Amino acid sequence: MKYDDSNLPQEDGSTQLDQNLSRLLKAAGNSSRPSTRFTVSLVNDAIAELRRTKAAGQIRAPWASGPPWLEKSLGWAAVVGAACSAGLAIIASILLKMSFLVQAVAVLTVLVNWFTFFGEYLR
Amino acid sequence: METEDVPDRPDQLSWAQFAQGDPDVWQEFIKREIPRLYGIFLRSWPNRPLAEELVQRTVFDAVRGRGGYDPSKGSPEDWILGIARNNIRLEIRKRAGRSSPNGQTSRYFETIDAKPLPDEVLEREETAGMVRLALSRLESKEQAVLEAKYIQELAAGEIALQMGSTEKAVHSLLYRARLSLRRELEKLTRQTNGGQASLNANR
Repeated sequence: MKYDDSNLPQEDGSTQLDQNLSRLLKAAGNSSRPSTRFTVSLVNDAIAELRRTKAAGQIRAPWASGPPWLEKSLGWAAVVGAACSAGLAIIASILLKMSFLVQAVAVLTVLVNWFTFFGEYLR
Repeated sequence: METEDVPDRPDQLSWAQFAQGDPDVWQEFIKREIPRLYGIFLRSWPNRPLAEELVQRTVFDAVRGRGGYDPSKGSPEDWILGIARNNIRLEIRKRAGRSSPNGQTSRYFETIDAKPLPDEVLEREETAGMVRLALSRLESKEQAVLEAKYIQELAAGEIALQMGSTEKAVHSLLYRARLSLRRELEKLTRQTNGGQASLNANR
């Protein structure tokens, strides 16, 4: 007999009976609390993940564990820096009597460089 | 008054430590939250394996997204509850996007060693009833070893200690118990299908 199995997860066929029996027996149980083994294992795995991501985060962004305003301030400083640079590029291009196309290229290059730099730095 | 401020301080302090990812604070927090989250998911779907999966997903979402926790906006308990609710919404959406399994529960037992049982079948009261009945027909030793292995999730060594036996004997008993349970489920399937066939013939 066939039935619609489009909603079934992909699992290893070699242990299918074991997995199904495990799920069936758990489903038929009447405990409203998770098993001690599950709890202990999840706590250990989560703490290991916490330590791992914390260490990785410290290498990439040393201010990540600092106060939340620091990251916001850095973000605003980045925006102000990019705007000032674009303004400077426009003024310089006018003073140097560049054509409109060259002006646009200069301004866009400065903006793209700033955003790329901050994008890499803040990641 | 100073005495009124005292009860708030440990909480505020631990919230700040929580936001900074202090492993000791997190360990206590996760240990405390697992049973609560499990109960919430179990109330949404009477499916223990799914509840475990969702608890696991929620805890890992919290650990990975801990940078998004803001102590000024509320307690870590409320914050993780928000993540749990989001996972419930995602599960509802996932289920809405797939066709629900149709047909008798017994039909799914025929391919128990080949295909994963759908969540919706596991959540049927009929499924739980059939499994309990099949389990009750096994020898007491077989029932005990299956419960220890799959419900209490004990390792073979621990079961051996509990039963006063060797690990090898536990593996052998587990093998026999699995086959017996499968056989009983098949018998129930045949009975159900036979009953259904005679019901159809009488119509």
